[in-house]
Amino acid sequence: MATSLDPRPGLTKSHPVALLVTVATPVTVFTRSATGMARTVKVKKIFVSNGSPSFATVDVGTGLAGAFVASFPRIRVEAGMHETISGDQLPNLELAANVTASAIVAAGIGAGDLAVRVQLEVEEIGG
Amino acid sequence: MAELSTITTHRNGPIQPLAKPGENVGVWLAAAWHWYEVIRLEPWQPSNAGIQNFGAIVAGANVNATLATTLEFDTNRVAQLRCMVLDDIRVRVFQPGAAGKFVNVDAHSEIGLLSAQIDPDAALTEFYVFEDKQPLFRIENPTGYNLAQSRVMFWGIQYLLKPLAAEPARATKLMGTGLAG
Repeated sequence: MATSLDPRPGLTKSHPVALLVTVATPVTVFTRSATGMARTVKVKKIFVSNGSPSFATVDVGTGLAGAFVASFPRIRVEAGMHETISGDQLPNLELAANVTASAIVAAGIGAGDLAVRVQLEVEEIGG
Repeated sequence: MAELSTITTHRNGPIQPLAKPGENVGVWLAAAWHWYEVIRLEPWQPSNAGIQNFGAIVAGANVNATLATTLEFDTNRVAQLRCMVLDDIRVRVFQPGAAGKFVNVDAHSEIGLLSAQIDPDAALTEFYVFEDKQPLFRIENPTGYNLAQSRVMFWGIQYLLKPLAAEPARATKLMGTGLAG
């Protein structure tokens, strides 16, 4: 369950593109500001492109390796295609951790052009 | 002459002069009031010239209190200034260097990007600089990534002053230090 008061001011941020090059291996796609009183994070936009020759299912959530927990329903991206989810398509979820992503691809995921690329736009809440 | 409050304070809303030519001000410095008559005043605009870059800061680190060199004013001048940050930084003010400004018993309040959203006129950031008694700024990078620059923009009003030999009957009092200074 998530509760938030929308008029709370936030800072809109984006991180560089993250590459998923290994199946089911989460990587950090947004590092939250955690010095002093840590901020929380709302994901406002998810951009995924799939360079592999198979369709990909991508989870966005929190935690790395065995601690990964998906925060949103899975996103399916066809081979060579991209998917953008933004605005009111996304639940207004507030996360208190770095945002991570993980991909499952039947075959062919790899470095370079074969990677699944993820970029987020987020809003950080906190001073 | 309009009566002015003798209580030291900023005023809410866009910055406006706290004293006009012909009126008196007291400036608190070195644990004493110093009295002046305002001769003239002019603005110090929010502009490129009023921006100080405190430099690159790696993720989660801070730059120790650094003199705001852009805020040195000439002899017999005091400036009424406000500020806003242009990068995602947290700023603590010291005036003088050994004394925190905007502090309480347990904490040192900070100016950050969110300050401008809650206090759009930056009224709560107001401070006063007499001649070369500039404040120092400790800059923190709260983010999980390195910042290539950490900029703070200052603007306000500077006053040309004439020293008075004694405390006048009425004056607007400006704190040239933090409460502990």
